[in-house]
Order: sequence, then structure tokens, then C-alpha cells
Amino acid sequence: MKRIEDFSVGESEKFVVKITPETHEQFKNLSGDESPVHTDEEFAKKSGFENKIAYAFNVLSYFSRLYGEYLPGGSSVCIRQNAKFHKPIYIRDILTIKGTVTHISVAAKVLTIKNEVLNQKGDICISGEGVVRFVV
Amino acid sequence: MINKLADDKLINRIKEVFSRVLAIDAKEINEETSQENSSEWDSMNHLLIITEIEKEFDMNITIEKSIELNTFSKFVDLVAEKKNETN
Repeated sequence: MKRIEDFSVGESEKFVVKITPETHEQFKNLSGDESPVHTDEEFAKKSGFENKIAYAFNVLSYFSRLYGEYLPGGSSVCIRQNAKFHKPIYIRDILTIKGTVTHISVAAKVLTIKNEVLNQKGDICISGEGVVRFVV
Repeated sequence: MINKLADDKLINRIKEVFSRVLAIDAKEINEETSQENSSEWDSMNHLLIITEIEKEFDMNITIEKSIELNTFSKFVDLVAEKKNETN
């Protein structure tokens, strides 16, 4: 398992996920958010979207996988997270979840990680920054 | 007692960092502010203060030093001394 001293600024990790109708439905049930922009195709199109839009907060949950499995991986806790939503994400979109180390505090045992969520066209749909503390 | 090497501009920059992390008005932060007397300055925010001070002033704080940093004044002392060393 890597120690905080083993990381370097600019280091990045990424993985790909698909927003499936099943995960969309699961997040609807989990969150209890049944607003029509997520559940009614006709309503979503009338509202100016191409189709029902995916839950952005469902997509943010992949940051948990990013920190827990990829960067830094192992035992870590996120102590601050922010996010900006730039473009809608649709069901069946294929997303790249990416994290890049921008600062390392050895004293605080903390990594600052820039987040980007890109769709299959390469558009940045979500950007953000997470501050993650090593527990080990 | 605030370090003599620290001017008002430097102190205000450090106050802005504290204000951002602790989500309190910069005017509420003074040389008496400490981890003990500030309810907002909890253990998680302590880590964020260290990280944000490092970023703001492009410096690294050692683990040994970080243990002593329990007051606003001590952060001012540290930053002022580091800046003095690099000038």
C-alpha cells in the first residue's frame, strides 16, 4: 500500500462507468428523488434536455470509488468535497471519472485531488475538488 | 503576541484562509483565536487549515511543526518566518 510520501503532484487515475437504466432506477429508489426531469422523458424534452437526465449525485458517488480504490486507494477519508455541474449527463452515457493530485500535505496526511467527469464526447460534465486524508 | 516579521497584509491573508476553512468572518479571527476557544476549529478543519496555508504560501509544514500549531498566532509566526527565510 502506498504511503503519502509515495504520491506526486500531477499523478492521476481514471476509470470508466456507464450510467445504466438499472443504476438510474436504483439511485431513484435510494435517494427518493422522483422529479420528472429524471423520470419523465416527455417532461425532460419539453424542459430543453435531450432526454431524462441522470442523477448528478449518483455520478458524484463514483468519487467514493475513486478515493477508496484508485487515488489514494486503501484507507482514506474525504474531508471536503466540492463540485460544479457543467453539462447534463444522460442515461447510457459512458463516463470517465478522473482524479489528479494537485497538492500533498505530508503534515496533515492529506491529498488535494482535482476531479473531472467526462462523457463519451470528451465534454467535462462535472468538475470538482476533493480533500482526502490518509488513515493509515 | 504576533510575530514582528508579519505585516498586516500577511496577517490578513492568513485570516482569509482561516475564514474560508472555518466559515466565519475574518473580523472574528484575532491573535487570541485558538483550537481550544474556537468551536469551528475542529480536528478536520485543523487538517484543512494546514493544507490551505501550505497552498496559499507555497510551503510545506513538517509533521513536528504541525503538532504545535494550535493557535492563529503560531500560524502567523510560522508563515512569517518561512517567508523571511526565502527573502
